[in-house]
Amino acid sequence: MPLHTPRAPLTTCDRSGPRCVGRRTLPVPRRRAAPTPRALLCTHIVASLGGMKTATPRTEQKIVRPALFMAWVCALLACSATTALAVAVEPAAPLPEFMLTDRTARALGVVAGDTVDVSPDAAMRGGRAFRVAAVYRPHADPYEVGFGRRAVRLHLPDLESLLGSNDRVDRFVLKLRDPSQSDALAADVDAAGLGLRAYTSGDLARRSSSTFVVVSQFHKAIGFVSLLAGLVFLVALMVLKFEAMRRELATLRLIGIARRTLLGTVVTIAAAVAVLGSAVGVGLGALAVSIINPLARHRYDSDLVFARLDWGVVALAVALSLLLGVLAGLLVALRHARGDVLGQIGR
Amino acid sequence: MIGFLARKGLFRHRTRTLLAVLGVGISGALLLDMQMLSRGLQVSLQRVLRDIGYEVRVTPRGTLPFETEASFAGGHAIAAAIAADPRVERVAPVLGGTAYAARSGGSAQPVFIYGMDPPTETLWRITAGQSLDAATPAGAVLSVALARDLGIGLGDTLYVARGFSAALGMLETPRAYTVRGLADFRFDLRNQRSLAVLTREAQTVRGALERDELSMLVIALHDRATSDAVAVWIRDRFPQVEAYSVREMLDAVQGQLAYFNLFSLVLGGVSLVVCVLLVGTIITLSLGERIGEMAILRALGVRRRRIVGLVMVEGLLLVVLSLPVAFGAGRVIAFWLDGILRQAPSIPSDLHFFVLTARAAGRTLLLLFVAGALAGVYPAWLVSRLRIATTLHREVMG
Repeated sequence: MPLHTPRAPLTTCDRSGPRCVGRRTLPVPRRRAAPTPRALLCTHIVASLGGMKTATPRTEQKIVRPALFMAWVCALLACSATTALAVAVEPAAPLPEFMLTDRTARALGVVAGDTVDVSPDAAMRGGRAFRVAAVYRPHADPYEVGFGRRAVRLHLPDLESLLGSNDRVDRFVLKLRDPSQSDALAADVDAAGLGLRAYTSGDLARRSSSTFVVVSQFHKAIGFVSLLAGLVFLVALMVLKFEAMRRELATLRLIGIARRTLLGTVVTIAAAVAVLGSAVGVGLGALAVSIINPLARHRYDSDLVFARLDWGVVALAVALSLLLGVLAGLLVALRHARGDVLGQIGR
Repeated sequence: MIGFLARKGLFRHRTRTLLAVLGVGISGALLLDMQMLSRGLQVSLQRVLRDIGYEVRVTPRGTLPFETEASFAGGHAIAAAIAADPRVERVAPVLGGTAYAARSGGSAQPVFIYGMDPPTETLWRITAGQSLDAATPAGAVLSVALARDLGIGLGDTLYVARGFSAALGMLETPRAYTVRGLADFRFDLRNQRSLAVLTREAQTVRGALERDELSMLVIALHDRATSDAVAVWIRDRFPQVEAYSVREMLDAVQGQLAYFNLFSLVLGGVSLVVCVLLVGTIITLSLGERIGEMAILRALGVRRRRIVGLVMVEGLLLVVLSLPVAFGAGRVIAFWLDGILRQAPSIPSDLHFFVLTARAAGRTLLLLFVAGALAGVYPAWLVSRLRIATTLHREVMG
């Protein structure tokens, strides 16, 4: 039983129905393809027919031969002309179609409707001509960033034929009537002893996302180090700020303001500085995002979002900043609260 | 005198200076890590390639080595033509691709099969037994992980085939090999299982014998300096293949490390800004407290430019004091981050993301000193505009 279904039009977002998927690396010439052998043959035949048509009157004007010879020549010409005409008017088989990513199309310098040779061999042996049905932009894929890969999409029978590997596919993708049965179906396929391994979409997502899990851990680690630097910065600022205020605070204590009130004041100032700093930080972050994304998208020819500032990130940054700011303020305030008041005002 | 005053100024408030040194140190550590990350993989790959010892690599047109399973036909003929060039010392053909392997009666496992002939094989390091031998074509070298997974050892028989019949649940036309050695394969991924046989054997397994298909040629030259020229010559002479000198290959790989380049650029920039802000803030606030002192120095006849120099030196001194923290913490953090990133499944075990090089250290030093100098600009400008009488009057009255 053949693995593939009858040829269907290529679409840019063909995601429905069961599909077989074949994937290979194929060389494609980096120029518009030369006329194919079939096109050359047709051109040659049409040219021969034209020559014969113009040759016939000259023969009639200049050469007088016995009737039998003339009849033989006429019969031969008629036969040749009929044969040639039959070949010439036979409708050429339409070229198979394929689609190119916009990057591939740019690299080849082709547009929809052009003809391109595709071969499984870099020397273009065994190549076939394909007509570009469409140029499409693939979905953004973080795995592809920086690779600059060029992809084409063929009908499965065309790819099989090109590779000479009939009835072979790399994988099937199945669309279930009831998606909740995916685990059970995968288990059935595994247990059927067909030598196949079935994965649900969830399995695949888990297995293929391991790189991004690592990258996420890396981000967290870098975030932790940045936080540490920020914390030291914040504590240093608070120390400087309250050292500058120490006379003022000592004076307030001398005139009878409760230590608790002063502590509250210090913490409030620290919180205000942290919130203001966070606001500036969020603004700078938004500015950085607005610069990084367009630059990176242009540089890597990708629609990916390289940097994102969402409310969760903002809330986390503000909360951490506030917490650390207040803690730093509290530490400094407690240190001053324990100190000698007269010494702090220089007496 | 400037050095003395700067030292006195910084050590007057030890806690403050300590915090500043810590802050600049951690920012510097991040900066160092980003410098290490920005070219770490490239440097690491370069070291491995130099260790392997070939100067030029030839691959199917448009691909990097083993980036895909593409191959080029007539491989040995191309290899012979290249080997005839007087600049070339030797050429080693390599075939690589996916196959299936199983021990007798065991289940099949997908493997990556290398074909490479002795004595040129350097893509693996033998850990037990012997490497391949041209006299025993039915010998194979297995990665330690594959031997462990299949439960086989030296002298055992291994069956290898290109295809696996799903219907029959067995290998399609398998070939039997005796395990001659166990090895660490240089570019194996964490979950990759590899084996190596002679090139012709690999071609037979992969069905590539008829067209003499190869994945790569590795070329050793008499003179390394000619590698770029030889690569150009090969590209021109054989249009079906790509040729890379080590430098060209590293450049091509660098283009694929987009994420880390961008990441190190952004985070390195942020670290630098934090560093400038921290040093600048500390010095500016410190200067605010010592403004009277500066006015007195000016009144005593110290020139304006020396006072400006004093402020700049304080910024640089803070950076100098933070260098041990920056480099110490940087190495520790890099080790930690490298460990995290190397858990990714698609990273060969020989490669590292964070590599300390003279270039990375030099750039970090330069950037930190630039940050220290920049941080001193604003307070220095403030000092340069100091009015002696007004300031002294304010200090006395205050």
